[in-house]
Amino acid sequence: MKGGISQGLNLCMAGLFVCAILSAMQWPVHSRAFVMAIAFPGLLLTVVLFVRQRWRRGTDAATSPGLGDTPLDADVPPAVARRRMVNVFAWIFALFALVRLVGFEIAVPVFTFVYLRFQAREGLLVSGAAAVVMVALIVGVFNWILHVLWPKGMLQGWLGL
Amino acid sequence: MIRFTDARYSPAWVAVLSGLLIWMTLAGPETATAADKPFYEGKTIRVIVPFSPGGGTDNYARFAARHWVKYIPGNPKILVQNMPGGGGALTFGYLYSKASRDGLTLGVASEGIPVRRLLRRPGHTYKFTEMSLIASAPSSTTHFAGKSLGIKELSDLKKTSGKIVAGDTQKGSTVAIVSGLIFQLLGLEYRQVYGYSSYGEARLALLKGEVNMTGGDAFNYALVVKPLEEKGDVTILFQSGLLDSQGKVTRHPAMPHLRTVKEGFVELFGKEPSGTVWEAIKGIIAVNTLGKSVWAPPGVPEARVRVLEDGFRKMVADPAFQADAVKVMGGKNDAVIGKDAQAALKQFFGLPEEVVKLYR
Amino acid sequence: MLESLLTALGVIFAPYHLLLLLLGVLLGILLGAVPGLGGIVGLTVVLPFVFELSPSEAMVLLVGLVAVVTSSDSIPAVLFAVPGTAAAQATIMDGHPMAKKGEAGRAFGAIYSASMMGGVFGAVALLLAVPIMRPLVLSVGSPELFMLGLLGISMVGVLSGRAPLQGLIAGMAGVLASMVGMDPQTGILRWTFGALYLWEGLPLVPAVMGVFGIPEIVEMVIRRKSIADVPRQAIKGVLTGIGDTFRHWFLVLRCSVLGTWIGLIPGLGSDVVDWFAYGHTVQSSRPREGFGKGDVRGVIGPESAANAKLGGSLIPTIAFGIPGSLQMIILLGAFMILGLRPGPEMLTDNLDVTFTIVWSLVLANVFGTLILLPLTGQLAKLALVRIQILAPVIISILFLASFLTTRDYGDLVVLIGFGLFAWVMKLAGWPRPPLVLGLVLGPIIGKYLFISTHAYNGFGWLARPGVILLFLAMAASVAFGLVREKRGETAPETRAVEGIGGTP
Repeated sequence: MKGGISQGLNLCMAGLFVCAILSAMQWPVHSRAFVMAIAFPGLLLTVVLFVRQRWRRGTDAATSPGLGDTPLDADVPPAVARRRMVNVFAWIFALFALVRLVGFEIAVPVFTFVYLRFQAREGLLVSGAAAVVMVALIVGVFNWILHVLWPKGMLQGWLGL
Repeated sequence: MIRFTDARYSPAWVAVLSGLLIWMTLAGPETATAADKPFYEGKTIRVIVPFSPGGGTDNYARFAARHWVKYIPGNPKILVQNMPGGGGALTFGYLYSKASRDGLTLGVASEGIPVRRLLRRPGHTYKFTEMSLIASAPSSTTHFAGKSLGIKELSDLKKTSGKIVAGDTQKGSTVAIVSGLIFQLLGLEYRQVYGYSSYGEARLALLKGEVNMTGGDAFNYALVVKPLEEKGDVTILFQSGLLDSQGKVTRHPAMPHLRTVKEGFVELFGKEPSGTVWEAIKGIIAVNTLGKSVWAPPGVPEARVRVLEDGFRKMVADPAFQADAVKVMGGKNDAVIGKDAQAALKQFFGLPEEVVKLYR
Repeated sequence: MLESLLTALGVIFAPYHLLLLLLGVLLGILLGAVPGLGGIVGLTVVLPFVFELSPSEAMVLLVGLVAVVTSSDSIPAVLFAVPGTAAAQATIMDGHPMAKKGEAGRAFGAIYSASMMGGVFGAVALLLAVPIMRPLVLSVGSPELFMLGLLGISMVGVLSGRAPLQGLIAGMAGVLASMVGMDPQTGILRWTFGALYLWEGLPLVPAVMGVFGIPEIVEMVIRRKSIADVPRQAIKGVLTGIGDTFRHWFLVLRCSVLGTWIGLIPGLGSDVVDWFAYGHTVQSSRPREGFGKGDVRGVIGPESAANAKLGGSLIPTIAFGIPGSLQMIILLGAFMILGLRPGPEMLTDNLDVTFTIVWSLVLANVFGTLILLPLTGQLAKLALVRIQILAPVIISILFLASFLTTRDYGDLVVLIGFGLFAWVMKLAGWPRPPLVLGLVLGPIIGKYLFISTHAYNGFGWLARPGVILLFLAMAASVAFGLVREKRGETAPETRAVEGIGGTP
């Protein structure tokens, strides 16, 4: 499976280099030169890598089980690992959405609390304490000492606060 | 994936929710204060700098802000914040369309921002005419040569055609535009090397002999550039100068002994400069006259703008402020207040296309 | 000279000065340890108070603050793979795997002692450089800076382990990513996609947090264990770490020299120091099998260099008034407010001020380590907390810290974007450090290549002695690596660096 991901990533990189080259075509020469100097060799390397991974799979170091720390096939069954991976990224995106929606000052403590309470199944005490610590961090360090003015969330905007 | 089944609506849970509600209310904005107190009493003014900390505009804003609040009735707090992005477009776009119109959010422009607005660089769509100009601190570019160019007197400049290599930060910076135009005006062949991360780094390159010409501004003239001349490392050639109320080019108050470009031209050629290149230089001089300018968003109540203007006027009139300006900024810090400053800007935005073209 | 040195010593040992120094150190430790904050934030916070203090008092406070930030910034780097400041990027490489092995205590012991020795060395270097400052700074021009950038890029090999091809590709992608933003040469906008936010380029801190921090936290959550994957009794002690530093004293010395030297060249920036030091450490060490898996030398090198850098970067700041980094720009601003005029006078008339700075540096580094060492045991225990409790806190801190970079939602997009990309790289077995290296060194190479060719009008600069010297150094290091590879010596070692967090 890892070989497949690696090939996919390689393809993605090749695409990136091609896009870079195409978009740089219209630029003045001084801007274009450095892009080309990087992107063309880069594209060449992706081709070399593709060939090596496709036909010399057994001998290529990167596809041998080098990264033993890859959690998906280490001490967690792949299916579980995949589910947890989707789960944690979902939480990360959820925090992003929450920050946009209600602003950092509310989003961060709420996220901390909800994650601990319902994802980690911690008790109210631990969850609440962690949320309070985050509030203290935001108010104490960022707001009072550093005078950070967090942007308001969209919700506050809609409510006209 | 996320399991809510074990959420019990216990009293503790309700307590947490209500605590959250209280927290949300506390995080909201403050309520209005009584009308008889000065508006700015107990308030915090936010001054936004459109660049990262450490540059000339940031330095000026932090220096002036510290003094300014002392002259605003009610002694508000003042907070200088940085909002870099788009060469100023992010900050001024924010001020123009998003910032609160209560006179508590202000912005500082550098000389380059009106230039980018004039050239309609992407993102620069705000309208200066609708915003309130509170005050501006005139600036001026300086231009100096390194030892390797071998300039002893101004007349030696004529012999350097083709040998000039000027160090600049990026294409389109005010110093880069004006020094290119000056070389054109004087009929000199030159090359500009872009890419130095600051004019400080360009100055170091000058000392190394990598470039032989670079520039600076009025704020670092006395503290940094003048000492280099005293040691014989550089020859300071001229300043761009300022426009007075009659539209005549004058010297910047912090550099009374340095000739302006116009004076230099007269010295070299025995006649007054003219033509589109000179008009273009005069355009930049107009922007320099505006210098570091403090702006309020559109629609801020007149009375509050007046209070801020008054504060600025009192500040520059105070000898204590000027003494500190000499100590920290290296020279007296003049300011043009309110509408008077707008005149220079109007002239700049009225430039004909054949002049504007020279800035690109 | 000796007299000034002693006068300065008298100044700094006055009780009030000592107190202020201590205050600065405590503040610096706090700001370093919280990701997203750092010396720059600290300086802007204390700047208003500077006006209330006398020049020597303010100086002591400011220097104390910036001196220790690079010591405490390794705390989150080791525990969570989240750099406290940009100067702790390379510390993650071996520091975090050490924490996973249950050696967080040892890592901290080594880091703090190495930081102290590096910092003191930097101060001594500042002292010794006083008479030769000018030629030292002026000898390095843009061509040499370009070659230094190339030398840095040649370390991609060292950082890619068994997957050199993938490393090179990732490094080039990093260089391309670093080109986002306005091109100073032509003024055109490269890949900004209409976002004003991208005009100034991709911000480094959110990108690095995404590349290292996100994949690590995701992996840990999937594994559902504590950071240290070992039983409680295996936590190794602080004393072992201190011992390690002393055992590798020569490495500390070499990396301190490196750090000081890079610091004193304005233009290279402060973000590259620890990568240079890490590259040097790996290249010069035998055996190399353990790097990336938690070799203690991998934290000693970068940490001693990071602290030594400050002394070096003070040299151009006070001798020329040309600051080499943002932090130095703000520090210089503060010095100017205090009525201090940078220039050669700092070495003649104002020598006692310079020596006050030197002593402050020395004492701040010692204080910093003395304060941090007793805390280590407690900090190391964080590695034993269940990851499900730490996860939301770490994710929140990644968000907060990234957002503070430019205070734009774009920072969060960069964090998550790089995080996702880096996670895929980790899954595919691609080395991630070259990506960061490309991002850090890309602007340097591009910028100085253009400046060199334009300023020297062609490629005549290739014949400069400094350029040739640096080219030989690079060639030697690459050739040496190749020869060793041929002999088959490198085969087992390289795998280690493939991904940080390589538990065997």
